[in-house]
Amino acid sequence: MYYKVEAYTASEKAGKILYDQGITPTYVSDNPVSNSQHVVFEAAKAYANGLDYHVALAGVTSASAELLGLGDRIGKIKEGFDADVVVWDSDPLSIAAAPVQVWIDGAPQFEKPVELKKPETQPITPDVELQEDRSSAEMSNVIFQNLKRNLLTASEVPTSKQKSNVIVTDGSITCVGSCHSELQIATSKKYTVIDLKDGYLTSPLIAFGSSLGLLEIDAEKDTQDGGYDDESFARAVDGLSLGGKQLKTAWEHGVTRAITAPSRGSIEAKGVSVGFETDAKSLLDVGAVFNEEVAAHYPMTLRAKSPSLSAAIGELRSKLLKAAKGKKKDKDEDPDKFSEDYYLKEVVAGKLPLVISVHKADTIASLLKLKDEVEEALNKSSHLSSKPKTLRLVILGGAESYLVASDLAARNVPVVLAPLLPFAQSWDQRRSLPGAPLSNGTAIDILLDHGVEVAVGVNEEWETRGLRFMAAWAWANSQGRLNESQALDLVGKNVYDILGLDVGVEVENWLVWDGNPLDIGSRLVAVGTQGRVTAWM
Amino acid sequence: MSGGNRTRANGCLSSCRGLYTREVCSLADLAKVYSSAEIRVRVAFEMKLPDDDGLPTYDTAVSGRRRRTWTNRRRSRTLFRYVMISCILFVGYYITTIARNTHTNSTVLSISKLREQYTSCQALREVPSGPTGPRSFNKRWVNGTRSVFIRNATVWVGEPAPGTSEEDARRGVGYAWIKSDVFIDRGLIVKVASAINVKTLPTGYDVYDAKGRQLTAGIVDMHSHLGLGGFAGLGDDINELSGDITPYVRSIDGFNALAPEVQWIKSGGVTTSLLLPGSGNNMGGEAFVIKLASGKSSGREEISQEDMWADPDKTWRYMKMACGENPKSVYGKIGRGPFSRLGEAWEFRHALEQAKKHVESQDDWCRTADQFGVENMKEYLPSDLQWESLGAVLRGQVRVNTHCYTIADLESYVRHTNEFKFRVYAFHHAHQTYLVPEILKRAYGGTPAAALFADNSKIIFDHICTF
Repeated sequence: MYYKVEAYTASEKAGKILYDQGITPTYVSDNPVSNSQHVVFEAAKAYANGLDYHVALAGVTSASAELLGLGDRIGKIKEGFDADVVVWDSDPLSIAAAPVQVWIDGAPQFEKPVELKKPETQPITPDVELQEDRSSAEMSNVIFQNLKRNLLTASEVPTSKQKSNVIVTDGSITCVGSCHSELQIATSKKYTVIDLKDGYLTSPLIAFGSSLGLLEIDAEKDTQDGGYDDESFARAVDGLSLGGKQLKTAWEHGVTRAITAPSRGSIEAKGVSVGFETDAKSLLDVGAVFNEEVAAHYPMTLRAKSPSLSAAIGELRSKLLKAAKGKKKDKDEDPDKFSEDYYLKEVVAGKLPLVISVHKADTIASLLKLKDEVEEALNKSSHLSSKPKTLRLVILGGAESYLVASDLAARNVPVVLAPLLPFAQSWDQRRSLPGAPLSNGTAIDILLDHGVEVAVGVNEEWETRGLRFMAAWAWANSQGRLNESQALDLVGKNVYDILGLDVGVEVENWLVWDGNPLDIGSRLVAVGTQGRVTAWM
Repeated sequence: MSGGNRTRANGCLSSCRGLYTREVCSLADLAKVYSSAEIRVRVAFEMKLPDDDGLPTYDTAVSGRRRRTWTNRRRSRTLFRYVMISCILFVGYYITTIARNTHTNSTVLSISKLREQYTSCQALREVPSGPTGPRSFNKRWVNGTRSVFIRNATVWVGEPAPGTSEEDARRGVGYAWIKSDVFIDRGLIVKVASAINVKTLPTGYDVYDAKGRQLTAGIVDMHSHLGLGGFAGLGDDINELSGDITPYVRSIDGFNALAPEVQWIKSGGVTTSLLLPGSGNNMGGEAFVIKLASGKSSGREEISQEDMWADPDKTWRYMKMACGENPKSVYGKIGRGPFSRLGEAWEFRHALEQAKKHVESQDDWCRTADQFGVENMKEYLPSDLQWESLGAVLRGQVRVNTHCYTIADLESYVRHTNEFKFRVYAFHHAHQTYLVPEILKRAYGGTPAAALFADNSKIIFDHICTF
C-alpha cells in the first residue's frame, strides 16, 4: 500500500470513512498499473474492509456512471438504460467472480464463453460486522468458541457438525475439539473467551518473492536496502529492516513470515534470501530469523539482460559448471564463505535451492536445459551406484510457465507463481492466461494438471495483504483441483516444501479466523506465533 | 487586434453601461468613444482594465499595476457625474445608430462568417444536462443485433427501491438482489420484471437462461489507460510530456481500438471505461468515455475510436489533471519547473488565468453581438485552441478528474477550484482524502468523489516510468 511517500498514510478503511462523511468512493484500476479486468475485485475488497456491500458495488457501477454524467444511461439495470449487462458465475463481490456472458448495447461479447464449474451460490448476505472498528490485544491464554473447521496442515480433522473449541495456553494450542476437561480448567483459570460465529483454524501465511523487509516505500530509495548489480551477491539478512508499516500490515493480515532476497523490486532478485518473522523487532532477537540462507537467487527477467538474456544464462551456466567441477577436498579451492562461489557450491551440492525470477516460457525452457547440462556434469564424475545429484531449480514468477508445464513436471521443477494472476504488463508475460470466460483456467490450473508443485508468491509488497485472497482465488476457480487446505498450502506449506524448509511448530504458529478465510467476508481474529497471541476484538 | 484586446474593450463598454459598478473610462476616453467604435476598442485596450471579478489578472500581476482605489471621494463623485452623463449620451447615440443601421459592416469581415460564429455563442454558454429522457432506441445500437430475453436472473438494479429515504439509501438499505427477467431490444434494457410474459414481447429474440445467476450492469472503470499504454509494455501514448500544461491534447488520439486488453478487460465484466491521460502533467488533457466493444466480433460494424464513444451525443467532456509528485519529478530541474508543489500551483493558476481570459473574450464578443448585432462586429469571435478545452472547464462543460494524494495537494487544488470557479468531479488515488473530508467539501460546485484502490496498487510511477 505504501508505494510512494504520498501513499504512506493510506488506509484500506478509506472507502468506509469517506462514505460515512458523505463522500462517494468509487473503485478504479489505473490499468495497466493494475489489471482493469479485476476492478470489480477492488470493490469486493472495499466491502471486506468495511464499506457497505451495496455502496461498494455501486462504486464500480452506478456511482461511477453518475460521476461521468451518464447516470441515466449506464450503470443500472433499469428500463431505458443502455443494455450493458453482465451475468456472473458467482456474486460479483465474491473472490474470483467471473462473467459467464457480457452484453454491450445489447450485443453478446463472447461467442463461446468458458464457464467454470462452480457451486451455485446465493448472493452474499452483507455482514455489517465488517464495518466495525476493532482493536488488538496481547494475551496468552484464550478459549476460542465455535470452531467450525480445523485446517491446520498436519492435523486436519473432518468437519464435525458439532462446533468445537480451541484452547490456547501460554500461546500454544493445547486442545482442539470439544475439550471438556481442558475447558473446565481454562474457564476456572479465567482464560479470555472469544466467541466466534464460524471459527476457522489455519496455519499462518508466508510471503515469498517480494522485497518485504528490505523496502518500506517502493518509490523512495532511502527507505530501501538498495538493489543489486552484476558484481554483487549479497545476503538479504545483512540488509534486513524490521518494524516498518509494510511488515506490520503483512502481519495483521496473517502473513507472519516472509522470505526475501536482495531485490530491485517485484520478483527480480539476486543474492541469498532470508526467512524471518514479520513481527520481529530486531535481527538479534531470538527467533527473528528462522533461516539465514534460504536460497540462491538470480534474475532472468527482461531487466536481467547483460548484455542479453542468452549471455546471462551462459554466465550462470559457466558459474554452475565451475562450481560443479571444483574438488571439495582441495582446501585451496574452497571459496570464501559468504561469496557467490561459495553459495553456488552449496547449490550444486544440493544444499541450497536455486531460485530464478523469470516469466517467459522460452527462458524457462533454456533454464531447464541448463539444469540438464549442469546435472550431467555433476553426475559424470560420481559413482553409478550413488543417488544422482540434482540441481534444485525453482521458478519464481512463472507467468508463462504453463506453456512448459510438462517439462517442468518431468524435471520436478516447482513454480512459485508471483503473482497468481499476471497479465501482459510486459513482453515476457504477454501469454498470461486471463481465465474464464476467455480461457479455461489460468497458469495454476495447467501446472496442477501436469503435477507441477506450485505455490503462490508475492510480486510486490502490497500483494502481501491479499495472499489469502489469492489462495481463495485459486481454490474458487480450481474446479475441484484443490480443497481448502491445499489452497491455503499454496501460501504456506508448499513454499516451505519447495524450498526444503521446516514449517515450524504448528501449535505455536496458527491463525484463528471468523468465517472461512477463503471467503471475502471473513476476518482474522487472532495470530499466534512463538508463544505470543494477538487478538482483534 | 487580438481577442484579449477585445475582452478589455467590451469590459470597458459594459462598465460604462453598468455605470458605477466598476472603474470607469475617463472622460477623454469616452469622448473618443463617440467618434468611432474602433477607437473605442483601442482606447479601452490601452487602459488595461482588470477582469470582472476580484482576482488579480495575469497582466496586473506581471506589471505590478494596481487598481485605483476610491480614496478621493470628492474627485470620484465628480468623475461619477461625468460618467453618468457620458454614458447616457453614449447609450442615446448608440440607440440612434442601431435604429439607423441599414448599412452593412464597413470593414472587410465576412458577414456570413460572423453570423455563423454567432450561432456558436449558444453552445459556448450551454452547460450540459443529461443525457436523460426516454429513448426508443440506443444510438449505439447496431441495426441487426438481435433482441435478448434473459430469463431467470438475480438482478441488482443499481439503486435502492423506489420510496427509500435518502438516509436509508446511504446506509445501503433498499438495495437488493431480486429475481427477475430482463428484456433487451434495440440496445436498450426494455423491461425488467419477474416472469415476463413472452406474449408481450416482440418476436425474433434470443433466449438466455441465466439459471438464477446474478446479473448486474456492466462494470464502469473510471480510471483506465487501456489502449494507450501499448500491449505488453511496448509503446506508450499515455502522457504528452512535451509540456506540463497540455489541456489541449486528447487521450482518444492515442487510443488503439484494436488493443488486445479491450477483450481481456471486458472478460472481467468491464463494459465502460474513462480513458484518462496519465499523471505526468499538471494538466494532462481531455479524457473520453468508451465502451469496450470493437469490431465485428463484438457486435460492432467497425474498428474505430469513434465507434467506441459511450455517449454518441458527446454530452459531456472530461479532463485529467494531476497534483504533486509526478509532474514535479517529470519536469523539475534547477531553472526549470514545476520543481516543487509551489511551482505546480502556479502552473495551474497561470493556465486557468489564460483560459479565463479566453472565455471572457468570447463571452464579451457574444454579449456585444447580442446587443449591437453581429453584423456590426469589428472582429471575428476570438478563438484559441490552446485554451479552448480549459475554457470549457470554466464554462462547466467538462468533468474534471484529478490525481491528488496528499492533504497539501488536495487543499491547494480545492483553492484553485474556488479561485477560478470550476468543479472537480473526483480526486483519483486520493489516499489522504479520508483524513480531510472537510477540505473536499470546500471544493467549488460540489463535493468531489474519491476514486480509490481498495488496498493499493502497483508501483510503476503511475505510467511515467516509461519515458
